[in-house]
Amino acid sequence: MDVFAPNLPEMFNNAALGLYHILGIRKGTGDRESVHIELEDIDLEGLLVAFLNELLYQVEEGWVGEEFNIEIHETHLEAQLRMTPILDRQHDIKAVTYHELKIIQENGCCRTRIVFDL
Amino acid sequence: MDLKQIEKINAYEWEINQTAQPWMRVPVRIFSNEAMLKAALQDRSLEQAVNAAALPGLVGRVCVMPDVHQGYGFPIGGVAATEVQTGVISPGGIGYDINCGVRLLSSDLPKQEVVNVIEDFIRLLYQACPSGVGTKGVFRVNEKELKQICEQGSGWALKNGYASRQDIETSEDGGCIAGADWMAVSRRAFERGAEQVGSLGSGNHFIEVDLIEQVFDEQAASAMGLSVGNIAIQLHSGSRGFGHQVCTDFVHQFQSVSTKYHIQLPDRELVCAPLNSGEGRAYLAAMRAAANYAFCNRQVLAFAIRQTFEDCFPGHHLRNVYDLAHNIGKLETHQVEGRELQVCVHRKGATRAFGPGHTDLPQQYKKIGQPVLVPGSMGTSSWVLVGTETGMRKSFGSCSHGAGRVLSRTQAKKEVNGGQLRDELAARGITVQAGSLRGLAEEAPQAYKDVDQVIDCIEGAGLGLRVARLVPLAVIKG
Repeated sequence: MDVFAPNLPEMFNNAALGLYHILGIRKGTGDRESVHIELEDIDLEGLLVAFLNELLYQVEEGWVGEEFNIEIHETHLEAQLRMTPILDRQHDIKAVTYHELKIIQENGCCRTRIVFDL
Repeated sequence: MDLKQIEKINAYEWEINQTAQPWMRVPVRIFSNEAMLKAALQDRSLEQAVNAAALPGLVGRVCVMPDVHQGYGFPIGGVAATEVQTGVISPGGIGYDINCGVRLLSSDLPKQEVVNVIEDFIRLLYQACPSGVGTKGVFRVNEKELKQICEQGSGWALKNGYASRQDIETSEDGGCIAGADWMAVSRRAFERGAEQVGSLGSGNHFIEVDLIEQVFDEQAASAMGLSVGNIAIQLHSGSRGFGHQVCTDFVHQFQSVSTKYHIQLPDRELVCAPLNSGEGRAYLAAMRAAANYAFCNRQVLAFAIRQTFEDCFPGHHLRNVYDLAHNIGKLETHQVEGRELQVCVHRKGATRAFGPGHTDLPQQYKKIGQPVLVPGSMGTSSWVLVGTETGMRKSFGSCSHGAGRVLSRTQAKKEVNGGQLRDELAARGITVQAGSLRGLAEEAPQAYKDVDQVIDCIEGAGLGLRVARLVPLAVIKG
């Protein structure tokens, strides 16, 4: 999955939306929940994998993120997520991989390519 | 990587010299014919094998099977052995679906008693064996039971009435790898695993009702209960979310562990830890727990298949031929360059294939060698082989695990129409039950290599010998 955005928080946000798209999620109705995530990792690529794995776990628990408020400081990420229950989904993702993962920040754009194990 | 960098040893063996890249600690040996080798050069699988040759403590060669295709870090269809005292263990060299594997059940039921009721039978199997995206298993287990499954594998199923003693005896390692420790497994893996015992999953996992069409080795086929004209059933599944979580946890944790031990690698997916370190031992214990979960999962599914079969065909019985892993890391003893060494054999998309006489084989297979199950793609042949003494020397007793993909799932979905494929298979007399047509398209025969060619290469290289060929009558696609 190729992801790009003007800045890192938006790129992480877009990566999350792409992940949900691949999973083929249909949102249900019901009470929403707010979830706070804090992650530490050795670098930005590690943070991205950890963030997406966190969302995959939430999907397994039956929740999809709707609104994201993400802050990234080098090796630390904090996110406030507004979660909605999942009605159903079409696909499984076994894992988010580090396969040739590199976040490139240049000319006012952040981009990366993420490979999933399906 | 191109053909010029690869030395031809003989018609079925090729080698990439250790000098091809500075990080290589051992050469890469490819078991393939020229046509399949050229096909393998179309993706990055051989570059990944060269990268895997960087793992500290490797012995012998990195081996590449004829069904090789591109994975993440390590190629799928790769085998690498690291020395236990000085070497490492790499979760990426085992895979996310720990102990993904295959089971074969044989019967004394002739095809003609099945063909007229095959659609009803496959529908009942589909109901009995939960499959598809995010599926819950046959039952939910509590935390105490899950801990027991981690440590006992199929033994838990035996104690709880879901297995026979013969099932256990004819499973790799008796369906339980010693040394598993649930304490090394994360809370998340436990949460994901509790609901999925006895579930097929999605992707390339399947249950297939086969006709035993041809037997090549009467003695071996007889020992396995395989007779021409009778029905056999294959089952392909793994450790579900439990195993995925274990691998994810340790690939993440090992990103910093590799740095701690000053291990330089060409790809982050290859991250590893010394086998004799605390981190390496923790992964080994957690990986074994996931492997045991997978053994138990296939056993519970096999129990559901057997119950359905015996309800549909009274007086007939399904006997376990063998259950084996093809994503696994095992401590084994092998002869390496004249020395007997204890090594950790990483098999990622590769099957153990021990030769005759090996002490780890059940009594009934001691003479013939280990049954090796090589499923083809949906709609093509599957093969039963036996392991050989030659394979013990050349590939750490390992063999191919399937046909091997040539199209990614995304490509397959673009090129194949699921509904059309289902109709084509039906026209050939193959009934399909699938959760989704798009999922079906991902597993189309054209997405895979020719399994018959894979078997030619395996036999040509001496890694396995043909016993029987199976053809599909009905498939449940997870």
